[in-house]
Amino acid sequence: MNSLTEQFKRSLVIAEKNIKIYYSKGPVIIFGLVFPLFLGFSLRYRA
Amino acid sequence: MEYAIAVQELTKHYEDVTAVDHISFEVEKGEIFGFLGPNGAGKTTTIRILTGLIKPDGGKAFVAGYDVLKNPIEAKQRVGVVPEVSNAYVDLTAWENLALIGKLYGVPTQKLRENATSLLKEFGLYEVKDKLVRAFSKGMKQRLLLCMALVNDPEVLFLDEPTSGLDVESARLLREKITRYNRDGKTVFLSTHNMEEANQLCHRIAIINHGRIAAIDTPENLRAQSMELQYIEVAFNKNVNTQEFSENPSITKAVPAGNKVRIYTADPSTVIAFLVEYAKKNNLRILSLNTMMPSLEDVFLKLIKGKEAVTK
Repeated sequence: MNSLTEQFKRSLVIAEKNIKIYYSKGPVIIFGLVFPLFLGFSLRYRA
Repeated sequence: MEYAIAVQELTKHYEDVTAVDHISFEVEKGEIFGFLGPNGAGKTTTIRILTGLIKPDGGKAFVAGYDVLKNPIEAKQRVGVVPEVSNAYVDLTAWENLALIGKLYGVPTQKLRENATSLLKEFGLYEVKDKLVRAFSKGMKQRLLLCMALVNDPEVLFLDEPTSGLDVESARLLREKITRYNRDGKTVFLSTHNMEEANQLCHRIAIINHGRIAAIDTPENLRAQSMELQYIEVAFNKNVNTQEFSENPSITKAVPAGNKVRIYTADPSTVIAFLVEYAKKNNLRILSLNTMMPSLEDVFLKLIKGKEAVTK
């Protein structure tokens, strides 16, 4: 019952809840993912 | 006998404040056990220790036969908790909240779906199961909390002031459900400020003050222990001087209460005879005369603040 697999499954449940509540928000996606990604690209592949 | 909850010399300090001071009690299986006390008495701290949220500084606590310190996971898997402050996620729907709790408790998917559906239907929330909890009223949130506490089919249910701030109808519904689940065999540990609620619901009550248990007994026995708090309320057709009553040795105290006189006595029959005689002698008419048993509130105040606080 309290095996590592069970604990891992439960941590996934908490992660899913956190994504739903905190991370799948517009500002978080834009400033936390899209903006750093494109900033990284622009610095990496600048002319 | 195996107890649903057993507490031995439980102690908890917060810096220099002793929140719980060597308390011991047992709750039998299938019992509704009331935990009464003023603010800061140690009720919530006790519930937090029993539900494994905080560790005690001393003593032992067993829930559903498991030591909450040595086997916290086993103990937690057998309890349901309705906390004082809502712990439902307002950005999730009612269904998602139930699913989250069920999955954390490791309830199998099919069983979880059945439990959640029947609970939401029973508590009148099935129609709004896909709405965000943010849009719920206080009563709906409280009903959802009870659903969340019951989704894992717990043996012991901890309720920390479950009807606080609810309207009469919601409070009554919640009380009915608590009684029903108790009839189904669940042990209920109920912390409340509401004396009437404790009186109606609880098989036994513990009164806690300054972290210590002041009394544990059935509501009836607690009242019977405080028979000196029973009083006679009498109304005459004219105003009377209550000083004259105080001279009677059977009368503990006589105080005016509106247009009536409240007479505290351990011997009501002698006092009633005295009052009838008094009325005849002074050419008065008795408009009403009632013998009042001490309420649980009177007993509570007596234990917390002493007899004077009640008869004041």
